[in-house]
Amino acid sequence: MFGRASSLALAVLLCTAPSFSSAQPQRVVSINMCTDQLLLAVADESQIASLTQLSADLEETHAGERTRRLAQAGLPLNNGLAAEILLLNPDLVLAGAFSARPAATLLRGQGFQVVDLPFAQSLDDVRSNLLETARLVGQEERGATLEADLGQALEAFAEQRLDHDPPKVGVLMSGLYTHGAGTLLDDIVKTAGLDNKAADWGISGIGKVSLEHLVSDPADAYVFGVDPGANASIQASILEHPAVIALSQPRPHITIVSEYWICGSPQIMEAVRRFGTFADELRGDGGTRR
Amino acid sequence: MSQGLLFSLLTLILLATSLLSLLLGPSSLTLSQVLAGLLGTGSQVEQLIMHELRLPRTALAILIGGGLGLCGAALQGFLRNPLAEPAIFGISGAAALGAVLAFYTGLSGLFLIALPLSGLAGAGLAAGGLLLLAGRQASTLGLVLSGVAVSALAGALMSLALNLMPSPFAVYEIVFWMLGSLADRSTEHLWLAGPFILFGALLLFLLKTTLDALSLGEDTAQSLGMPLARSRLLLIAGTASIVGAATAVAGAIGFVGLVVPHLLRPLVGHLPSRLLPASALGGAILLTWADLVTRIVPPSMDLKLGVVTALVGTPFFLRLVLQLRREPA
Repeated sequence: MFGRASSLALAVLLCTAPSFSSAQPQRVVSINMCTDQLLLAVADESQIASLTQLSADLEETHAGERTRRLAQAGLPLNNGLAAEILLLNPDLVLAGAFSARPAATLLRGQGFQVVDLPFAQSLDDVRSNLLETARLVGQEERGATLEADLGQALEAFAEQRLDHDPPKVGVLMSGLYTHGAGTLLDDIVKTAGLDNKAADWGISGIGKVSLEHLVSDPADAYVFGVDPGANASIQASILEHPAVIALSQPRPHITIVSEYWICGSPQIMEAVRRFGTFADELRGDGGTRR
Repeated sequence: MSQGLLFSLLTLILLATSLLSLLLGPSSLTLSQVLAGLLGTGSQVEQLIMHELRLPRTALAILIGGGLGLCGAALQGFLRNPLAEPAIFGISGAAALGAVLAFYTGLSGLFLIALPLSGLAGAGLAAGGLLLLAGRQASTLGLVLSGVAVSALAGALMSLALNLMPSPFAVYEIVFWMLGSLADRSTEHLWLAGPFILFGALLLFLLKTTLDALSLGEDTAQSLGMPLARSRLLLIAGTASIVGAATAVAGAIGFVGLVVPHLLRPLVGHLPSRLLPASALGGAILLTWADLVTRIVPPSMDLKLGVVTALVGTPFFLRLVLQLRREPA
């Protein structure tokens, strides 16, 4: 009886203990490119103990630039390997639901606090991930502000672009992969006032379009998710297939590299704006709107 | 079976298979649409599907399959070794390594022909090394083992090269080069590989009489005045040209060169000079069928060509191994 009461008392004590010790971790490690971006958005830079090498490799976005700057100032970069992370002795590890599983399991077994953030499948997921990350690193206020700003920007954006017959765009990645219903990209495309051609191609989630499908059921316009020819690969070279070129050249097409829209972070607003600008161009009233 | 009948039968099967390959695809076109697309009288979509997708794919399957079948027959005849085959002997692996180096360093981006040429260089080195070994009376086992070593080395170097490239798809790409695929290949690939394969085939057909003489033994062939040193060079050049170019555009495809000559040898009266054209036809049929299988399985699964040929070929290979054990060399 005594034991139970005391442990209860201890629990109460722990819960009411000054919040800075447990509520604001000071050595946060992220082992996923997308949690990197969430962490960069809500945490103080002094709280970050490591980000992934993948983020440092991003070429166009702000996240890449910031990661490289931090790395130059001495921040260790990781490749999602357990050994690297153990050495950093983190008080919080942020992982993606699908990435670096062996490391996440091993670290959890060693008693580290590892939190899996779900892979954002919609703009709402981005907002809830933002709030959740902010709560985990003890920056609720900053998180709430960012979330509210993002929400407002998105709503304002969507209202401007109500359209009953939106142009259908096909978004093509290396290897002719595309993102259909139930993906973050699908939500972005629709918020930007466009429709996603993936549904007509019978693709929900992430899937591969066959070249024949692409040819026999063309989209109104195309967005390429990779810079064709940026890196030589068999997968990317399919985007330079004569049939793909014959399809996309006569129609409006742009490149919005996937690093803008693959991760659910506040940076997603930039992706929405780029798709929105493309939508405006497609309607031929690019001059009247931003 | 009379030889005339055999060859007309093989040609007929090849024609039927090619027609099927042109007819089948994810978008269902009718026979008349297919013909209209081929002849350039159909809609733009039909023409695009036929000219840029199905025709190059079918033509590549025929050329590559035919080339590999021919290589298998020539190698088996020259070495008098039932296990001789480009992939088993490491020639395909070395060709893939050459192609990978040209492709990912951007060399093939500078001038396209670098791709088949470096495939050819890889295949030539492997084939040359192999025949050097064989020249000193290497046993079947010795040749197969050195093939295994070359394959393993080429595979490891290829993986290393791909890992060092800044591509997020490295693993994916390794699978392509090791197992081969004709998915999403274009007319460009056809023009790159076709001439080399045809040239290689021409060289191998020049070996007809030598191979017939060699079936009586090397000494007899020499006493009949066969220029064996020159023939060896022809074999290396022909094999390298075919395997190098084929691998450069479609990855390493195994077992075609092994299975086809064995299936057809009894039907041509064990005469190497007849086995060469028969194996070319048979290889073309086998690979076109294998490619059809990869298309009938939902295309989103992206089944690799080498998976199908290995499923057909491995039981065959095992049977040959058992046979070898029964008849001590």
